[in-house]
Amino acid sequence: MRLGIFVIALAICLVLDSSFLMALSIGGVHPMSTAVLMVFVGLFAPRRTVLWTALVAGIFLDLATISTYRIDEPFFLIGPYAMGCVFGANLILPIRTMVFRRNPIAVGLLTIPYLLAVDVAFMAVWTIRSFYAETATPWGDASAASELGRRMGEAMYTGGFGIPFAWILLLTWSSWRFEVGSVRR
Amino acid sequence: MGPFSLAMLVVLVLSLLPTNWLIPWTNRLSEIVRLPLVPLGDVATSVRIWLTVDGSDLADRGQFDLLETERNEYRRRFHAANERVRELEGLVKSLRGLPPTGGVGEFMAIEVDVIGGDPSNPASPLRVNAGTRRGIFPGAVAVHRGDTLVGRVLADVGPTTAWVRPAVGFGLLDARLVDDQGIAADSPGREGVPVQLTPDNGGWTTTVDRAAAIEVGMVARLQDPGWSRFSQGLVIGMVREISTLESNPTRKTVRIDVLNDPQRLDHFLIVGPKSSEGAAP
Repeated sequence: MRLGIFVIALAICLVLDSSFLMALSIGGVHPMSTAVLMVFVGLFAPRRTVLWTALVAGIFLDLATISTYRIDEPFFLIGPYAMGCVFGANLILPIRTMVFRRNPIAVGLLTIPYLLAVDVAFMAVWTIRSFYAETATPWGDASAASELGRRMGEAMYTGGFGIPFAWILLLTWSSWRFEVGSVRR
Repeated sequence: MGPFSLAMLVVLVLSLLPTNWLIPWTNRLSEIVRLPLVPLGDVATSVRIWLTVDGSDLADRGQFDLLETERNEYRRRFHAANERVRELEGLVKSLRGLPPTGGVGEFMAIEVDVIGGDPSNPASPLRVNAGTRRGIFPGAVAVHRGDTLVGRVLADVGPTTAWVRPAVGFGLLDARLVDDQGIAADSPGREGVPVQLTPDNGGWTTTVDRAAAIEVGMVARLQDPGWSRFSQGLVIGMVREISTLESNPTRKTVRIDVLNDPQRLDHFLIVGPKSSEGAAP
């Protein structure tokens, strides 16, 4: 896999997630293009590459997700998305040989469990922190169950969004130079 | 332990560090990491803002209904005001169009509202809300927007009401067919083709010589000695149709329709001599 292409695609997806895709927000939920990208990479890249790219993408997502300490002090927590992305990648890797990988619908549908896995890890880290750190969870006063419900909606929305987005990614498939046999490893 | 496992361990430790330890450096790290994305983010944000509407600007259902009600009310007032302006302009035009007092003697002009009539019959008299108490007498003429003859006040005017018969209900009328644009700069009624109009189905018909320069769109102005001097030169209709007379190809038939259907008028002006001069002929 060409890392340069991945870096460009990741940069575009991070910008889309943080700046543009809120335009598609429905009920406070908007799609997450980075998740679609990670599923796309997870379907074609070698296992080691998938895990490293997931970790890097997760760290970048963490560094783009602001939190506050004592109301007015911003900080960025490295870990929730990073571990979530790795967890999601580990979910994708065993099942990628069982799907039609070059089908946009497969990419879109796999994005749903991938993002659910990311969200579970994300919420787990924040829940653990809430026991001892003086920081409010990202979902504030709402219950974890309602936040999980919201994130399930986000995962499903991203799955729908992921189909056309994956179609665009698949158009660039040859530029990525994935190794054909890598998925068997 | 491989490098990936080590990296995961570091991330795990970072995610569980006390917040105090994260504040000093994570902000800077985030800024550095996001720095290359700032231009692209600005563009994407601008596009998003351009594509979306600020939710705080959106009215809820109640506000929307209120705004819609207010919009309709102000629209109604706007149209009503426009209509009133047109009425007043017509009234001014009516007053300006009246003959000078030196030529016709003292006269009165009273604005009246129509309070009754029969819309199914174009020649049906109109009942107006003014009578002898306001100075209306038989023979006074009804004028709409200054230049259009509506009709004439019938005999038996009551104290508070009167009847106005539309011009189309008075039988034969003498008039002139004139080019309205040409007559505007001259005294009305002094040029054009003299014709005698015969009432016909809510309008009039007449026959003229084939050589007469008559075109659709010309107006008919009253020039009938049987009518009050105040009505002479007023418009009574417009030429709508011209056809060759089958029985006599040297002549053509002209169809003239009323300019404003009297049965659809809500108000107009009654003009006549002052009471001291008595009823006009």
